[in-house]
Amino acid sequence: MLNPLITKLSCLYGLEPADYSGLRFGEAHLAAPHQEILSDGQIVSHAGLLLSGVACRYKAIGDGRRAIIAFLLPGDFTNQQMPERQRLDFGVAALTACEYANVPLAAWRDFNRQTRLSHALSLCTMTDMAIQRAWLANISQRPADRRLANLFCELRYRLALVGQADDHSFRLPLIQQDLADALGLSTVHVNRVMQHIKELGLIRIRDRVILIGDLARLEKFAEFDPSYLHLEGTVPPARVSLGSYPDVRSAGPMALNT
Amino acid sequence: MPRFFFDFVQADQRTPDSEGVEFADVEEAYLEVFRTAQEMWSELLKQRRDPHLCSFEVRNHTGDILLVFPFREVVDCCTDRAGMRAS
Repeated sequence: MLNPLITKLSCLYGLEPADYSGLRFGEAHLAAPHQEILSDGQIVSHAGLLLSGVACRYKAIGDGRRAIIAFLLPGDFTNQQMPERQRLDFGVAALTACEYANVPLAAWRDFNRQTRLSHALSLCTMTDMAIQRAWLANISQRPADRRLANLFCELRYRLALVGQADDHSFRLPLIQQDLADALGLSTVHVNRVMQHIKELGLIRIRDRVILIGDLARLEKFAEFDPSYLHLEGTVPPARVSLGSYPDVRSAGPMALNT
Repeated sequence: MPRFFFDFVQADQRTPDSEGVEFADVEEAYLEVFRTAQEMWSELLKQRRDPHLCSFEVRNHTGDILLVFPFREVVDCCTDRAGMRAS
């Protein structure tokens, strides 16, 4: 069973086993839904990798609400290690049951001694920043229905990179409050635009699975162009059927090199 | 938490809500529907649709209507406040 980071790096940047043989993480930790993984303002001296579930980076805003500034999917770093000690300017919280591993500073430095791995990790950082730019444009300029559709397209594409989505469907275990906090909309408004996208025949929802009739039509409506999500390489995301999701939860820290 | 359903009514056209949203109580649902009407106001205008003709009908899980929220309420409350300042 492969670690989702390796799945992603292999898919996006063609990394081979020799390139990531030195990739080691600390033991896996569990977080319950809504549990805080890192607090805003906390001083950290490690990076963190999400192994399973969905988490978010967030910032608290005035009246007790929170703004979700990024969704984190399996294979994403919760935070990356730059200097030796870093004061976080955001918090990280689990949205579903999550499994994550910390990456100690020494291990992070080891990764970056390996040329191809280091290059791939730099591209991950750049993609992270590209996603933030895409969110800024999405939230500030698009009407609510296209804004939600655009987020669905992004999540579907990113989940496909770790083998958890295909062209026709993906599991979205988020509640409407999570989507509202990410899109800068009220929950009832999210509910309303969700109904609207369904009325347009772009998606159907069944047991928290988003079913897509025509992906090209959905992406056109959402004004979604995935080129910012794969900065280098032209390898398309792995296509798997809904029934064959790899069970990332069983990928323990020692299973990374298998 | 109880689930509330928000049917959107525009002139005489009704779009039922089949998903619903959970809130602690009907007061919380009211406050959220108020925010939604504020947000949707400008989007409706951009679509050349009159927000005054729109409302939400909030139902419980058995389908009973708990409250009707006409969008004009978000403007009416501004008028009231201006009136208060003038007096």
